[in-house]
Amino acid sequence: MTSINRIKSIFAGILMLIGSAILLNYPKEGYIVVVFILTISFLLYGIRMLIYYFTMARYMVGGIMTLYKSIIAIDFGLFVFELEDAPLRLVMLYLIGIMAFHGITVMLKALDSKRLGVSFWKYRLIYGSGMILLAIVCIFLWDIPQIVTIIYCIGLIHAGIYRITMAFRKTAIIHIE
Amino acid sequence: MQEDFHYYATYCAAYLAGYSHRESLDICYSAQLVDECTVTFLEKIKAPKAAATTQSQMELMNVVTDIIGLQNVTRIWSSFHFLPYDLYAKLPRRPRRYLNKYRLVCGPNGSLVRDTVVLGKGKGTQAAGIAMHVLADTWAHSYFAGTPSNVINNTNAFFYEILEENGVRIERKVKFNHNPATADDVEKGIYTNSIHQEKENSIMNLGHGRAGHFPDYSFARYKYLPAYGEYEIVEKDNQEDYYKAFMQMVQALRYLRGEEEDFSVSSYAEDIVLPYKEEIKNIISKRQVNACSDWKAFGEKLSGEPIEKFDINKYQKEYTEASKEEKDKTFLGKFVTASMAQKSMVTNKIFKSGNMLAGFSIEYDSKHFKGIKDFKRLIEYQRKDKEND
Repeated sequence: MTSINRIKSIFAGILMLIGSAILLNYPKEGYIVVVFILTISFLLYGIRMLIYYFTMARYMVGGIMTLYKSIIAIDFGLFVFELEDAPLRLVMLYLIGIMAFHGITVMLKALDSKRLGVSFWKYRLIYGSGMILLAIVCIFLWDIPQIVTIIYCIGLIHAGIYRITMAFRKTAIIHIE
Repeated sequence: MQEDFHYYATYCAAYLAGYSHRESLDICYSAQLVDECTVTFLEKIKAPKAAATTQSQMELMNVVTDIIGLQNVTRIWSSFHFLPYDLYAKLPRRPRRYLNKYRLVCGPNGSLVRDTVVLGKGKGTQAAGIAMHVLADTWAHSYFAGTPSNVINNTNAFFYEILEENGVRIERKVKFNHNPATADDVEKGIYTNSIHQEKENSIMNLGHGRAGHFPDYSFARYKYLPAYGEYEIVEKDNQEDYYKAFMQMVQALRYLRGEEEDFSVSSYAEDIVLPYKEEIKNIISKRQVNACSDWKAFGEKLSGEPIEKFDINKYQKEYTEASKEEKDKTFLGKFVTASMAQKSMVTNKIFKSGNMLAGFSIEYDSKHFKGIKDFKRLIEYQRKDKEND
């Protein structure tokens, strides 16, 4: 990880911790803020990927994956935008779904890292399975919104700490001669 | 390429080209120094940082991949390790941004190779060494670019090593891992490469990191899909390429020494190298990660003299203790001047082709532009050269 990426990762982690604090103290408004941030993030990511695909990646072997990722991201972002008038519980369900999806992708990455001999795969696996477990607990306690909020905040704190920890890990690049 | 070729093989090529043992040592030292001359090294000896010919892992990790940082990375790696093959390559229906990166793809026998060798003419053994490093790397690092780019330098799971067993060709799928602490296992076919980063300008996408050290192993024969190749398979035969690189080095060094009137691309000193062909091919084809000892033995057999190990500290004292006026006349001083000349030349060519990836290049002398202090000394040096001619 380069220095600038480490700073970005720490910043994102701190934002998540602040987000969880806001959500705990002001759940209704907090959810709307979280949804807003997610919408913007997904849309910006998706549009950026789409531009990258049409200007560069479409000529690359395997570049079509960039197009798929951009479409999925934009879809997610637009879907979240539609949730503005939806009941709060539906919004919560969506956020829990994203948490679970994130956990699955991190676990897959962990298994891939293990296969490739990267050292921190165990930490990734624990983190990913933790996120999925939290999502499952949220579904089970669906009838108690306050507890779901608390568990979701635990997930956000977990994610924030993960981002900050990963920023400090050693990475090496293959040195070309 | 690695120390085995840049240092020991270059010594052998220089000796075969007619240089003395001492001169050959100077040439091969300069060739290897291109892989060691980082900004950190130059800061240590208080030499101009603009003369950097490579970047260490730590320096790369700290690169800010904004436009200025990327231009600096491209200037260094394109000038010394991934000399572009065709700065005016054409591809249909490609945006400018894509074309600029594609045009930096490295390959042997491009016009810049001749420019590099001719630039070293009459400039001493340090310039000759730098030229040999650049020339040799065009053979090893073909199909990759000296600028961070996912769409140019990426590889995928389709990566096979080509082996021969009892005359039968075998294609073995390469298992890559991302742990640089583990050594490559050539017997089991387990190699290290850099992690894929989908971010276009990530430093992980610089050069041949995604192919690991394959381009630097003389024994390697492999096939893969270059990211820009539109699914056309490239088969790289390092054994053949390294042998051609060696012959071309001998030819280029003969030109630099004055034995040949001109140097043209695709010319090789076949007759001179022929008596040693079998011996050289045996070294090149031997499945080993490091061929230093074999090349060293060959070189010592050629000259009858011992070849000292590369020592980065060898000329530092001479440089640091020299007065300001005398610094340029020291070994490292001449290397610094030659490296700045090479970097200047390549950056200028890239800029003139309409490509901004290596940054601006201004012809200081003709425009009387008060530019970077480091390059001003290069202008004064070139002016003295013209006056002497």
